[in-house]
Amino acid sequence: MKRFIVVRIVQMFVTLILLSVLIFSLIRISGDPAALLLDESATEKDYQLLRVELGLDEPIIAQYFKFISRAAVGDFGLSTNDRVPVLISIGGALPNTARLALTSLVLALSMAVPLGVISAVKKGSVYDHFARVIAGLGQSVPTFWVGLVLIQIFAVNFRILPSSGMETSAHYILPSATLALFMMSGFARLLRSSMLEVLDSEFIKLARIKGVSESSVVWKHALRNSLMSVLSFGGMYIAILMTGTILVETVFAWPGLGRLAYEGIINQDFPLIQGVVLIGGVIVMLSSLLTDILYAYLDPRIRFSG
Amino acid sequence: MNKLNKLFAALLLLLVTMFVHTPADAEPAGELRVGLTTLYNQTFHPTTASGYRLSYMSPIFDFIITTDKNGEPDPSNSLAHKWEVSEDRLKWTFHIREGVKFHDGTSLTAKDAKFAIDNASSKNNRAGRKSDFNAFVKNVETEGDYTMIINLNKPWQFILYFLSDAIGTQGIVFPKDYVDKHGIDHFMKNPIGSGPYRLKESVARDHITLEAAGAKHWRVDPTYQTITFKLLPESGTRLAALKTGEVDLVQIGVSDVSSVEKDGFRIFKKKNGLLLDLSFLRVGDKTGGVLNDKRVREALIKAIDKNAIVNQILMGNGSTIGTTLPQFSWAVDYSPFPVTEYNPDEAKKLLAEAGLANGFSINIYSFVTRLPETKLINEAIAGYWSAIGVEAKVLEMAYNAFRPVWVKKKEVTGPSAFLMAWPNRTIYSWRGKYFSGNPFSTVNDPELDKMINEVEASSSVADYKKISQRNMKYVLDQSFATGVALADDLFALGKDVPAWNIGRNIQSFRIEFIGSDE
Repeated sequence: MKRFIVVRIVQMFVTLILLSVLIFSLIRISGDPAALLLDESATEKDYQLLRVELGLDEPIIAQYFKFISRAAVGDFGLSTNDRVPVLISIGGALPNTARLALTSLVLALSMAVPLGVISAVKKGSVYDHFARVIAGLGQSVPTFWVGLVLIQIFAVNFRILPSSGMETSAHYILPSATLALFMMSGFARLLRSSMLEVLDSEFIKLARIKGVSESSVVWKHALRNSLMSVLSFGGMYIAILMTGTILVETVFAWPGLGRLAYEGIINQDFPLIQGVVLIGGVIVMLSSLLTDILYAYLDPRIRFSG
Repeated sequence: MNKLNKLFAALLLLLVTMFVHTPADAEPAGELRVGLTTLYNQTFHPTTASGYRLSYMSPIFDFIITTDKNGEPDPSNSLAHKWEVSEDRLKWTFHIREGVKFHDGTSLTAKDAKFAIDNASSKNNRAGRKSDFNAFVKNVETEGDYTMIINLNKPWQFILYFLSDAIGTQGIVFPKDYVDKHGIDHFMKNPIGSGPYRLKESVARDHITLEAAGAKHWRVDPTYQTITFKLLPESGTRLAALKTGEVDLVQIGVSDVSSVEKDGFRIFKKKNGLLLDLSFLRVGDKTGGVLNDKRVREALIKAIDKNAIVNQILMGNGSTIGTTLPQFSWAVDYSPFPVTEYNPDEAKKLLAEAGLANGFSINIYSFVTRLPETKLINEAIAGYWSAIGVEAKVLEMAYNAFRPVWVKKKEVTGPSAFLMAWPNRTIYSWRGKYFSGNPFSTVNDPELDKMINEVEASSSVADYKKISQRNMKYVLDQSFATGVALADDLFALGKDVPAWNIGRNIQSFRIEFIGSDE
């Protein structure tokens, strides 16, 4: 198990280095930050001075090593937009995104589990078709659109929920539901196929022969084993959640990491984009690592083959 | 008068004082909630971030010069209540209003006003116009507590506007001692101003709340107890927030007008708030290609139906223009140039004369800055050009991807043009826009360079206006660029919000004047 964890951590560091090279290069390719910050009445001399101030006059390799050595100790520099340390901006936004993500995750699982289980148990029935339609819709309808429709129905028409912001617990409902709908669909479909496989396995047949009650077979034995497959996708869902928040946070004016990233891109705030991507990458990789460890802990075949 | 009469008179006076409550005596009450598309970066130092933060900065601070509702420098509303200029126009003396206090109770003096100009000239100025301050201001001195003297390198006709709320946040006066003591970083988050409102709370990427700094203010008495600026970047969410009563005032787009009116909200316009101009890139350079031929540029301009753009795309929320000068500028009231005639037949003839009867290809860099309809207008222009045989490719991109092309740090891949939505500004940056070799210049023309040097050396506003008119005539005759339209800035108001004079300054809504007698 120890060897498994060490190998995964080494892999994680290699991925992070690659991610840092990728984001650093992409930002430089996509445009010149000095060109964006330049005042319209500026002269060529002003442009050159700005490049020096931003450290863009140095060779690209030197810029990268300066960036990565500082990032290693959590220093992503100052945002070119507001001159606030990037880590402070991220520190302010991350808890908001985490709260939204957690609420969405709980909501998604609480909808996906009954939907996936009932769909598998009542395979081919009206319930199954209904669950599959819901799951299909959740994955095919754009999150952005779902958010706007929910606002129109629950905020504008019925006036029972606020349309945007994050002041009270009621403000969590619409953005969480929007984000949860997409995740729920994936979870439910995964759980359904996994449940169908487990329900058809020998140990379930044995349990039934031994007279274990049907609810115990389904909700205890089959579900527990099926959740393994859902768990294995946990890391991937964290990544989906991270990208999903950019749209949801924009629609619902939610002051989280997604909006921070969006503003960074719009303003070509390269220290901010680099910081958000790297911190986001660390979060996704850590979740993936934790998922792998948990999965390896629960299923010995993984750690031995790994 | 006996004692009983005196007592009766005193009681009567007391009653009158208690019950006769004139508007002037009104205490600030209630909350105004404003939904904005951006809060910029929510730092409150006047020059360390965008100069466009006026919506929430102007209620907190006072300016060396404040403009009135018509945009003219107004000494009665300015920190500088009086000013004089020397005969050679190189020395400006400003008399700073006495008795003005910052929100921490300290007095505002000439030292603070000088500090504002020092900051505007500093290399750390991110609010813009640093180059102008550096080019014109030689030094700033103070005499006593309430006199500031600005010595110039050369006459600066527009000095008053650059020190005012007309340009941005550069003219804001903030407390030097407080910044020296606590540092810039502290001030950015904990500002002290002298305006009618003070900062109560700022939650990053969510909202900014201001509260009345007192019942009375020398510039304008606060109407509301609090004003909250809420960030609502998505237009659908902004409208929903208005309809649910979560906000009282929002910026809207042209396409939202009918829906908002249908729901019974009032539309409020800042007339001609945006100037849309089309410029050709690299004219006079090797990479300009066919655009170096004046007849080609003229043909492309004549092929555009500006009336249709205003009526069909802007749905009448704007007007056509014949110039790229800010036509309704109050700083210099330019005479209008006639709108270019829409004449596709003449355009085809001009192309044939230029040997391009079979057309050519041109790129239109298309991005959105202030007006969502810009993309549609670009598509329309591509259509008009296609009608005269020119194949126009619309290159959709983010504004930040276009900037390196504009400032010549990335080369164009053929004849190119772009449409920009500018705030309908007060001062025209001739040097920025057309002087050869300047990063943002679209033209390389020695004749125009000479003319720009002349306009900058003009000795009075009248002179400046005259030479500007001549220069613009040259730009239009040469078809270097064309104004396509002026678009209105649109707002939707909740039922309880009174209309107010929004003024003509860029990005300033003069929010603090809502509900005032003005």
